[in-house]
Amino acid sequence: MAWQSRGGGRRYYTRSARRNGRVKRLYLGAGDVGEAAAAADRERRATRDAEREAMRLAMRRHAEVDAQVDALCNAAETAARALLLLGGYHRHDRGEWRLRRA
Amino acid sequence: MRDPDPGSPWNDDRQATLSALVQRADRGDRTALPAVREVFDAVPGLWETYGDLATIAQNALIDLVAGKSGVTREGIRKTMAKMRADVSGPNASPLERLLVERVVACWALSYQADLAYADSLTRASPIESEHCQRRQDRAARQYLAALRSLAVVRRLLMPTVQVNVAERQVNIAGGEVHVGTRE
Repeated sequence: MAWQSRGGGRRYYTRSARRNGRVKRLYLGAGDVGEAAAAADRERRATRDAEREAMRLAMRRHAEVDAQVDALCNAAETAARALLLLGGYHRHDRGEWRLRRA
Repeated sequence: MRDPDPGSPWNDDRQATLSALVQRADRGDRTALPAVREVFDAVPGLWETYGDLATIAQNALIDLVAGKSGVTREGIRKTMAKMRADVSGPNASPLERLLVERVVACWALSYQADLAYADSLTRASPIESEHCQRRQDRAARQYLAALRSLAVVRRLLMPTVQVNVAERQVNIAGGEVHVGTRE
């Protein structure tokens, strides 16, 4: 998206777009029309950037919380296995818990 | 929920040591069992420290779901407290209480991951949506694993007493009473 000068020094606001597999430059207008199109594009870009930033922050926060839940799960699973083993159980083929024969 | 104790003698190194010992014992190395018992005996307040892990994870989840909304925060706290009471039952052992806290945390994570995925479908790029969907699947698996672990411990480690009263067999397991007809 940019302003381009054409004959007579008149500036046109343009936008690149893909049409039938080829990139084409669209001339959106000069003067007030061009300014309005540029402002709309700026706003759309700012909204998209803000959403991307929010999503990036959310994903980082998700990772932090997931790590805390993982720590709890690991601790609980380890404690459960430890007490089952101390209680005389073992896992048969790494699956079902069975009482170890004396 | 009480506040986490920053001066706890339990730490990541001890947790890693216990995990390694349990893995050895799990693979059939019976020489690791005395060391496992020693770790449990050596650390006073171990179960409270495990409780701290639960508190930290659950508070983080509440923050994540509720954001700045005090009403939502209170609603989630109440839902989690009700779930804790429903799943826990009377006379729960320290291990059972820890596993219940894990179930509550994993339920909250699964709920939050569902919301995040639904939100991503309207606002995020396909790559981010895919990330949220993978996270949702993982949270659901963690929740099921937490329930399975609690069920196994209840079935195998909670004391069961069988009493025959007239024609009925009464089993008392983990503080719950089940009545059936004697064959």
